Amino acid sequence: MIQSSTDRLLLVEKVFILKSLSIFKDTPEHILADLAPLMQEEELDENTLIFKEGEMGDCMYIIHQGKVKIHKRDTVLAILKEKEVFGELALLDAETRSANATTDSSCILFRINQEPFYELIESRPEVARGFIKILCERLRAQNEKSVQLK
Amino acid sequence: MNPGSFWLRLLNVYPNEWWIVKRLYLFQFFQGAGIAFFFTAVFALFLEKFPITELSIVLISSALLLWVVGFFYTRLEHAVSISRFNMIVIGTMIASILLLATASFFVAQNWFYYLLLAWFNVLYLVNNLQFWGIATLFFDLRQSKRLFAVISAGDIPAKFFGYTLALIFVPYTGTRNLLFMGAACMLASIPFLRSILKSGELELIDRSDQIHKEKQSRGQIGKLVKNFATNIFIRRIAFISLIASASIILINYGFYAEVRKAYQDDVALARFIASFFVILRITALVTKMLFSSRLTESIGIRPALFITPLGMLILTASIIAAGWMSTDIKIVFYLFGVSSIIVDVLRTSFNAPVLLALMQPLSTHERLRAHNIVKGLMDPFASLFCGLLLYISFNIQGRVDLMFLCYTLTVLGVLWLVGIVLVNRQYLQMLIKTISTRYFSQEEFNLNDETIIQHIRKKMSTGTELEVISILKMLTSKVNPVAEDLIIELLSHPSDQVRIESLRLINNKYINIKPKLQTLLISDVSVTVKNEIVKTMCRIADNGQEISKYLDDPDEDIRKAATTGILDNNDVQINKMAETAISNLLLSTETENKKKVISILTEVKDKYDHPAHMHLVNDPDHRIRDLAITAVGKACCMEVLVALVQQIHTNEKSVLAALYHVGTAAITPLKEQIISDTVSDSLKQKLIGLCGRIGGEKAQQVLLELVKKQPQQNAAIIKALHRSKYSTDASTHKLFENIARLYIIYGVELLYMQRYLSKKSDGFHVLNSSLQYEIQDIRETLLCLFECMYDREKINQAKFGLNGKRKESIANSMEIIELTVKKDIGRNFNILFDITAIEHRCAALRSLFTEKQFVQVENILARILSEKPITYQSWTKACSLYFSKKFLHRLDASLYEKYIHSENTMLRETALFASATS
Repeated sequence: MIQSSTDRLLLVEKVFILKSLSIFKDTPEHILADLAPLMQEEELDENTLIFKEGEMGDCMYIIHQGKVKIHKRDTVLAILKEKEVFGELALLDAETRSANATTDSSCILFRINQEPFYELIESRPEVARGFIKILCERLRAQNEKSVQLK
Repeated sequence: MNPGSFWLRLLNVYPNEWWIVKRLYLFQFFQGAGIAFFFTAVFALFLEKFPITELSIVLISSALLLWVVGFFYTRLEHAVSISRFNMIVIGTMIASILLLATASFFVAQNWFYYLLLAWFNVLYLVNNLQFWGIATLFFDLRQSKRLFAVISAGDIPAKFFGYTLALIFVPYTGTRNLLFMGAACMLASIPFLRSILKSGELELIDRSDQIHKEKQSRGQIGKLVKNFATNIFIRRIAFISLIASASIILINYGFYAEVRKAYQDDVALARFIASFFVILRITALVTKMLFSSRLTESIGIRPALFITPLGMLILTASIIAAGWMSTDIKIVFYLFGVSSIIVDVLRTSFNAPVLLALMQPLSTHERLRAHNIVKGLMDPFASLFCGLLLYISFNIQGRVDLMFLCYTLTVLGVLWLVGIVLVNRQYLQMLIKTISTRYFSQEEFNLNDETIIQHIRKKMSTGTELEVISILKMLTSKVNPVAEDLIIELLSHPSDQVRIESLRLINNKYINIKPKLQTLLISDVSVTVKNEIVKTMCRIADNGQEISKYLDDPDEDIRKAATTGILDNNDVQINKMAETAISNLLLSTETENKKKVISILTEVKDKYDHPAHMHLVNDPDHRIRDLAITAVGKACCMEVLVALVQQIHTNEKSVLAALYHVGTAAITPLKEQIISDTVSDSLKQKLIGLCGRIGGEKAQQVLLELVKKQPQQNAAIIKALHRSKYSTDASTHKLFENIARLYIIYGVELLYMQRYLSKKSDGFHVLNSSLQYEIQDIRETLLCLFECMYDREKINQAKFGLNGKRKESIANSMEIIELTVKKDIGRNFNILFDITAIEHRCAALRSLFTEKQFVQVENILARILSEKPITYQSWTKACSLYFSKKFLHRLDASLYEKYIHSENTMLRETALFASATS
């Protein structure tokens, strides 16, 4: 990815970032182009608490740079790296966070809030259709796994 | 073979198909050669020992043997995996040939010779079932139309090879040893079969159908018969197959009878048979390889079926005519020989592959079953029918009468044609059914049925609030006194919500409802229900006296409910009673009054509006403005409509929603906005779409005008016309066909762009995939055009199949399009959107690519940014701008400037980025 002439990323480049994520790999770029403007850049120092367990979640995060630790008190559940996302289901269905998220290094994250996302869905039904498709594919894959396990 | 090879193009095979075509071809080559050796030997041995009339006994016994073998074949096919099954089949065939070859040196009894010839029919049947059983699993309908003739052509050089070698070897080896050569050829086919089975493709099909297979494994023969009885399409195909097989048997029988007279010893007979088949196979090979697939593709699958029976009828008519005109029996004999060759060539080149291609739209299991029925059940029937016919005719006439055979063949030819007409009629229906097996229909219920009424009543008293409301909605769809009674009963329901919903459904037709409403009003009901009762009474009132008291009621809520009900009344005179109250509220400067009047107007928006409503639409307070816009409905006044349209740039979403509610009355202002220069392209597209959603004759008229006035918006206009359920008439059909041709040309240009970009570095894959979305959008536009021009239901089913991921449903959909859409358009559409390699599609459509060749990336980027030949999506344009900078493809400055002031943020910022000099 080349750096833009300005400090911030171009919307086109944000689309490339979204497309590189596993959850959006099958979503057409022209749909992601509507989602890209909702990405809010956040620069965080190491050991900054992103959200707390039990808090109401209403946004998802994309790690652009750095590492994020998902933990319950001192027990680390996962270390997430670049191009990984967390809290993606909160985008569609607000629920309490099941664990804490803290930066493990200095990080640049992109945050997508639920409310503007809902507004986008309202005006661009194809975005919702894209998401429904992703969810259906995940569900189908999950079903196949269950059948195989049986 | 090189993917771009001349031979592949000649054979009409795509590079990705070559590996399987090659293996199937070679497999069939060695199998065919083995059968040719076997046939030459056993037929010569038989004819040497018995007169030709004994062939009828062989045919009858073959029929019984074929049924027995067919039974075991079907049982085994469903009992083991595809790979294992095929290895068992081929092993059994080889073992049986070796056993019979060895026994032929020791067994001299007559029955053994009958068995040998009958076993040839078994080998022929099993080879056919096995080969087509594998081939039909690999290809979809469109591939099968192209490839079946080519892959099955392996059989022809094989037989040519087998008969030629038999011709050469038989004087030295003797007839019996040819049987061992047959077994050797069969053995040579095993590596190709193993290679096909190892590819894993069949295993995948096998695994995906395992559950289905397990369910189906029991009672296979019963299911075959059941399928035959219930599936009309398979039954008709089976009928054609029966007639075709019987015709071939009879025509060959007549010919062999004369051959038998001319040649006496087995070696001479074997040499003649071999030479005859060499000629036959060469002719068939050339026809099949070069003409079959092309002819079938160009005339279509259904007309191709007529070729063989028509050819046979012409030939038998010639034989009959020759028999009448000439006394020389040799002329009839030669004509029989020629007919035998031509009919066999036509059958193997056209009839057999086309019949199999017709079955391709069926599901995998139905297809295999259909194939087993056609071959396994019908071939023995044909054999039995011919055997009995020949046996009886010989016993009556005492000789083989060629003219009798000709008359029989004529009758069979006519029946064959009838069968084809019946199959063709069923074909399209079957295609549609295969794509969509689910039919959605509204649940019908009959309110004249006492049991249903009782069930509804029970549910009304015991069901939840939501269930009862759902019943209410169901009842509103019925114009029936029983439905009215049931709605009235619900006015006494304990739930307020149910009562309110019931009250809203009451209209002027409820003649005796007023006393019931009066009683309810003075009973102990909640305030909300009370207001709703007043509203209802005012709505259905037929004179002013009975409602004026509510307008003067001290309770403000009652007054409001009365005003709402009065305005909702169908009588204009009654409406006027509430107008003064409404005017006062509309002109009030109090926010609360404004809200109150908006709430009233919202409730009656489809029946009543007031010109002063426009003041609220233009109100300085955005909250009042937003509410006033939502209060616009079908009854909208012109003044309000003008005010509404003026708000379109600042309040796009809610104004568009309100205009949709207004309906037909909004079409004229919408048209003015669309043709205006001050409206952006993206808004124009939304307004065009809105016209389509509103629909109706006026909207369609405006959209048709726009097709000519705003051709750059044609994609949106066509989609809108489709949305409005427009169907072309004589005056517009031609125009739409030309638009369809134009969009195919646009699609071809994008395809060429894709082909060029795919050869460049990986960096362009994003732009390439954005072009793919553009092509998909063109497909969508074309399908909308087709639905407007042709049978909407059929095209809709095709659309459904094209959107699916399965190769088979895509192929079936394309077949529907080919059968429904005008020939040149349908054919080019299918090539453009086929799932084959881009090189092939470009080559097949090169005559439609009229623009200059794309020799540089700059050509493509400039073409996209100058928005030619279509209006591209913002994403495609943004990508082009971005990559022009990233990969240093400098473009004309005007192309950047065009987007620097774009209202689309992404385009604007990317244009600024791209135009900046680094």
